Amino acid sequence: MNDTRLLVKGLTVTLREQPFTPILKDVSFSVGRGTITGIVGGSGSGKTTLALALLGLVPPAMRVKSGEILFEGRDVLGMDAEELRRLRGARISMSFQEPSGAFDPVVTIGAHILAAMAAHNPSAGTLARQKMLDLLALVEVPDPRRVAACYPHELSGGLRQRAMLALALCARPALLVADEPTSSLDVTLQARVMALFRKLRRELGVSIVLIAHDLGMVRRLADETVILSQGRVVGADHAYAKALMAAEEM
Amino acid sequence: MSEMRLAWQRFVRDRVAFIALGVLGLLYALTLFADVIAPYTLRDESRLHTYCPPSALHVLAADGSFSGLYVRGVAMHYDEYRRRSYNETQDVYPVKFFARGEPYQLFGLVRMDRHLFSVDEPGRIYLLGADSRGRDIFSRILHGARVSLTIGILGVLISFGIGLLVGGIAGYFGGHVDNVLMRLCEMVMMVPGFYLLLALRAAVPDSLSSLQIYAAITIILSFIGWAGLARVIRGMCLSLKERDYVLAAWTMGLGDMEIIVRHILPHTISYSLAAVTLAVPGYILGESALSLIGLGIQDPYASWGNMLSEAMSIVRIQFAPWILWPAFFIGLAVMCFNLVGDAWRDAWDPLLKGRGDNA
Repeated sequence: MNDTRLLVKGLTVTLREQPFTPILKDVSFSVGRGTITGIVGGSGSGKTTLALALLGLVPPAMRVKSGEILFEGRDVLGMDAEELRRLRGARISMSFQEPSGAFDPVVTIGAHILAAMAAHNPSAGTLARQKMLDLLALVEVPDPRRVAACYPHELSGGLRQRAMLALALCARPALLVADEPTSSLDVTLQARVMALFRKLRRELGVSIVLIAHDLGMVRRLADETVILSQGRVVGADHAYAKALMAAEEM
Repeated sequence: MSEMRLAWQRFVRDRVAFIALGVLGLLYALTLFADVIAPYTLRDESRLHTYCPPSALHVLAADGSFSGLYVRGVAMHYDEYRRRSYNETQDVYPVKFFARGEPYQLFGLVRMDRHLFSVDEPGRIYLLGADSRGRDIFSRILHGARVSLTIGILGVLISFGIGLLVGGIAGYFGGHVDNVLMRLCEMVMMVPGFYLLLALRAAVPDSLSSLQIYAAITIILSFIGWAGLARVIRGMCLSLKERDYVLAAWTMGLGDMEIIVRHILPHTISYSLAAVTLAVPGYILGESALSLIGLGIQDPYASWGNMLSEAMSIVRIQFAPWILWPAFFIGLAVMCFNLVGDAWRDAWDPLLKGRGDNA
């Protein structure tokens, strides 16, 4: 129990307007310290909703009907706005499927990271810049100094993805929720990002929730895999899981 | 910011607007150096030159030879109906450049007494004629431009600040906050502007120094102006906050105000710039209107509005039409700001071109 960082128990999320149409139905899983948990599902299976809910960000059109999300023993869904703000980015952070959308086009990469650092550690001062460059180096960005001064549109997709990981890791979170980190990248870059995840887990001890639609990729990387179909966790003998595995072998 | 550069390129292609921008630049440059350019200071007057018409500039001496620029003295006459008229005398007053005259402080710092051009006393040079107290209208237009042209910019900056903040907060938080703030805006916008202006002016004591009056008018004008801008900014924020980078900023634990200031308001700046330029004329006209009816800048200080208060009598306009010059400059400045603002908005969003003013 001591090794559990995140525990999701019976999470049910419904649309506000249609309380009997669950987006997520009775979802339970746990994430241990320094482990990678893969969550696999097709389009509309509720993956992204689940990812946002882990950070206490349930979209306004939805509502949590029942269940708990315990992060380091504290219930995320019961926290007030300020507690959540201090949790996000600092203890749990998230990287997005589309890094080009997740960066503000008029703010440089470096300024994004510095602002996020300042939000959790206002007194860092001049050290923050060096830490920011170290972070970019950690996620294997070549020439961090140049990249930090770039605007998001000046970077390639792979660089942007890594820059976003640097942003997500800037306050050394205990849990990283990575939403489709590789689906916008080509195969060689996918392999590099996956290697990067292994390295981050090894070097930072960060637990990772890896959300993807690609079962093969997740199975290679994750210690545990949760398959989500139409908002429910399904076992390996479920029709959808079988279809996924069949698709894998083709 | 390359979008900004593209918009600028489109703006430059609009010749009329580009010229208007040049005219505005010139007006502000004249304002900055008003003390040097104006032959007379604010307090200068000559009761012997009441409503003296614009001075004729001569270059040929009486015998027809070239003599350099000079003006003649004038003598006042009354006809049998006690109507005033001026005749040129034979006295010659050469126009001197950078000669010593009344002392002033350039930019309020540097003591100087050189004027761009002047004539020796008792000669007077009136490029645009004189007013009821024999004051040079040209000089007073330059001095008055300080009030009239800066009050617009200053007022807009204040109301712009309030509008951005209120609109940003209303749009970002939505719900009850939005509801309360927008109803507040509507209350401000509901009252007809000019009456609100009068009511607010009445709330300020009259026994103020000219600087205090200037500040009071600026604040009153911006109090009226912020609501319209806040509404538009709020609308933009409603859509901007749905962007992924705002969600990303949330997941990084950034505070609400930081997200508004860093990730939302910067994206409204190009629109706001156009809105601000289009709002300046309203402030210039507002100040003119207040000063015209004697509630604004008080004599002996000049503003284009209070100079026009002399032109409220049709009889005076008939025999001294040059007292309407300030109106020309108000019109010029207002027109230029409108041209520049329109062109900038079109340059920013070519789809809006020709849609009129309600965009």
